[in-house]
This record gives sequence, structure tokens and C-alpha cells, in this order.
Amino acid sequence: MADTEPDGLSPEDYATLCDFLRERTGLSFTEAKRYFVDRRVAARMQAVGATNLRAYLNLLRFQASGEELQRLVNLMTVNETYFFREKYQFDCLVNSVLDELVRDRPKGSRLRIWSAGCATGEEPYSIAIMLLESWRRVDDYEIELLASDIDSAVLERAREGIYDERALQGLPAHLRAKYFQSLRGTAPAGGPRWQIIEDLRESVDFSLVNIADPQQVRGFRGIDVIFCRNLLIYFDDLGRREAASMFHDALAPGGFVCLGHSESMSRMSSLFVPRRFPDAILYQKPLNGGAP
Amino acid sequence: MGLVKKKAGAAPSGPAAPDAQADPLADPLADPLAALEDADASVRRDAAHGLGHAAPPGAVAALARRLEAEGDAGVREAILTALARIATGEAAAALLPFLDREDAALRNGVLESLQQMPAEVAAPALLPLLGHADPDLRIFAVQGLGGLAHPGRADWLAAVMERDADVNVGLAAVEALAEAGSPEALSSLETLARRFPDDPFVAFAVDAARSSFRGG
Repeated sequence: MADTEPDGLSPEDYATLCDFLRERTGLSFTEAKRYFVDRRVAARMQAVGATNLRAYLNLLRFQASGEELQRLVNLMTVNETYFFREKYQFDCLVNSVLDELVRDRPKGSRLRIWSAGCATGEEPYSIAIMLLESWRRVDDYEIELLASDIDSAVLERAREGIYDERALQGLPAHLRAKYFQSLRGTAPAGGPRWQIIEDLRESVDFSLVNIADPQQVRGFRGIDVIFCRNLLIYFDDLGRREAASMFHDALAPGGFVCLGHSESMSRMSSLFVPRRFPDAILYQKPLNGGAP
Repeated sequence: MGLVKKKAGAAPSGPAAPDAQADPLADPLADPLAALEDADASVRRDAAHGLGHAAPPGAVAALARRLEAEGDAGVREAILTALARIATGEAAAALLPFLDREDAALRNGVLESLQQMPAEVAAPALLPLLGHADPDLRIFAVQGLGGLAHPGRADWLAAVMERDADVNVGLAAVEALAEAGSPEALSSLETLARRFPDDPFVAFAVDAARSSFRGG
């Protein structure tokens, strides 16, 4: 291992770091991400005073609090999203999927929806708004909205629920007026700031979860719908296969997974059945709980 | 009813954190090899996952034994993924006996696991199957080898097209090559067409592959 890395990490060090990150977090970085990783690791090494990668890796591995690993993970994940992104999938939820799920359930029973990789919260809050606005049976059931991310900093922002204009660009004016309140001051990027109303903030249960760690996912059981959009693109093939297996375990029989528009479950796992609805394709855990 | 509210002032719930005070003996995953035989499918699945990431001696044999008996699809998938992650010659060899099972989902999962291993691990396990008496197993070997990123891949598949006596094995090689578009295999394709001149599907498949290699 090199003592100094004036021009970024050596190929061996880069590989060592990527192996470590993949093992601990499931995040997979190829050579194509080299510049992205180099810059962030260099910044963190400087911040903690590590003079070489060996010292920095030791800190990541053995720090009891895990604080530095969390800081690095926070830097390594991209959290670019906005309200109602890929709205056709939310349409699918309220127009088709939920009605199918409750077909044989009595009124008052519980539905559990999990936004895995929720970043700053736009996705779970969008789901909440869609449910309240567009699912006519919303008051007949107890709907639990769970949201998780591996990045502690974005979860704090998600809980605060404060957004700028860019995040709200896809939201109709009447929904903005109904579910957001204008805040004083300007957003860091300029322009006004808006906060999700308290009623909605209290309706989403956010938690810090690494979906590559079965221990951390163990609490998620009996889920009816999992939204995991544009998260598994950070995983390698085996990591995706493991995550799909984890989702299979977390879902109730007949539950659904919703992936990003460029992702396909059939390239990750054979445990799910693709279901084509009028608005979108989702992936279903077979009703008998097993494989198709 | 409607959206369930968190309790005011409550800490975020989410999954329960591991309890540091808990009795380690009460954790079934403390011994993952034993946990593979637990009555609870979730415990077996998590045990398989754990063994994939830290395999003690005996892990491969235990995973293969469990795979033989396992009826839960999720656990089976976790075992197949664990063996792919262990990715040793022993793990590859442990998967091979499952290639001749009737269960197509299991066979496909096994092939996927072999393909997700490094090519230098999977290839030595799969290559001997090209000489197996059962043409179905030779087809699986072709499919497995066809999915590997290995410099010997095109030569292995070319040899199948030139020599294998079963037309379906040859066609599996054509398919594997066509997916990657390997122009260096053109002469082997022509050989296959000459070896089975009366089979219209060979003519069709070879023609299609030829076009794809030439970008046509």
C-alpha cells in the first residue's frame, strides 16, 4: 500500500477500498467511478488527518462508533430526487396495486409500504400525498409508511421535510398549497423554502438501515409494497441478488416491489413474478410465498 | 384510519437494533452452520447470507447439504448467492450436481451462481462437463461458459460447434456466441452448418448469428 497518494489512490488501494465498501455497505464502485471516489476519500482523509489509505481503512474498520464510515457513506451516495418522480409508479399503486392487495382484507386491517433508499424523503412523502389524494379507500385501512436510507444526514433532512423549488417542481399548485407551508428565508441554492406539513411528517417512520445487512432489515416484515428505485444501481450483481432475496423475505406473500424505470428484477433474481398493470410493471412475491 | 401516525416524541422505530445485553446463546445466528438447519426459514436465510460473507471450514458442504433438502425458495436463493460469493473451486464443484435436477428454477439459479463467480473459478468446474455423456448437461455447461468473461470463452464454444455430436449442444453454443457477437467464431459457425446440412433450424440460427456478427 502506498504511503502517499498525491494523485489519488493507487489501483491497488482503490481496489482495497472498493472491496471494503462493498463488503460493509453493499455499495459497488467500478473504475468508472474512480474520480468520484478519489475526491471524496481524499477529503475525508484530510479531515481526519490520515496520511495514507492504510491508516484511513483502519479507522473505518475499527472505530467503535462507526462514525467515520457513516460520514464516508454519506458522501458516497447521490441523493438527487424530487416529488412525484416517475409518477406513473405511484399512479399504479393507487389505481391498481392497493385495490388488489386489500381485495380479501377486512376494513381496518393494516397495509405496510416501505420506501427503501428514501434519501431526503421526497418519495415517501409523495406516496403519502398520492394515497390521501387518489386512493378512495385510504380511510378504510391503517396504512403504515416506512422509509429508510443508509445515509444519516439525508434522513435528518427527510425528517425535517424542508425543500426548495427544484424538489417541488413536479407538484401541482393545489397540492403544494395543501401539504406544504412556506418558510421564511431562502434555500441554500436560492429561492423559497417549503416544509411538509406536520401531519404528513408524522405519517412517515424514517430509520437508518443498510439493506445489505440482514440484521438491520430484520425488523421489516409483512411489507405489502417496497419502493426501491434507483438504489440497486449502486450494487454489483451479487449485491443486487442478495437485496432481492432480502426484499422477498421482507414482503408478505403477494407483496410487490417497485424498481426504477431502468432496473429489471429479472436480471437480479428469479424469486418474483413480473406483473404488468396499466400504469407500470411491478414485481410480485408469489402468493404461496415461494418462487414462481 | 388512513395514514398511521408515529407517536409524538417517539424515537424513530424502524428495525430493532441488536441488543448488546442480549444473551449471545439466544441468537440463533451465533452458530450459522447450526442455524442453517433452524426451523425458521428467516433464520436459515440469514445464516446462509452470513456464511456467504464469512465462511468457516465446512460452510460449503453445509450449504450444499441444506440446498439438497431446502423447500423454501428464499432460503434456496440465499444459499445459491452465498456459494457464488464464497466463489472457491469447492463452492463451484458443490453446485454442479444440481445442474441435472428436474427443477428448472434450481438449475437456472445454479447457472446464475456459477456465472457470478470469477471466471477463473467457474470455468475449471464447467469445462469437464463439455465431455459429459448427457447432452443436457453439455448444454448447461455451454450456457454457463457462455456467460463468463474469460479469454478462452470463444475458443471453448467454437470447439463445441466444430465437434459436439448433438445438434442442440452446437446450437446452444451459437446462441451463447451470438449474444456477445464474436466475429472470430464465423468459421466455426460455417463448420456447424456443414456438419448438419439437413437441419433447417441450424441454417436459420447460423444465418442469424452470422448477421449479428457482421452487424447486419
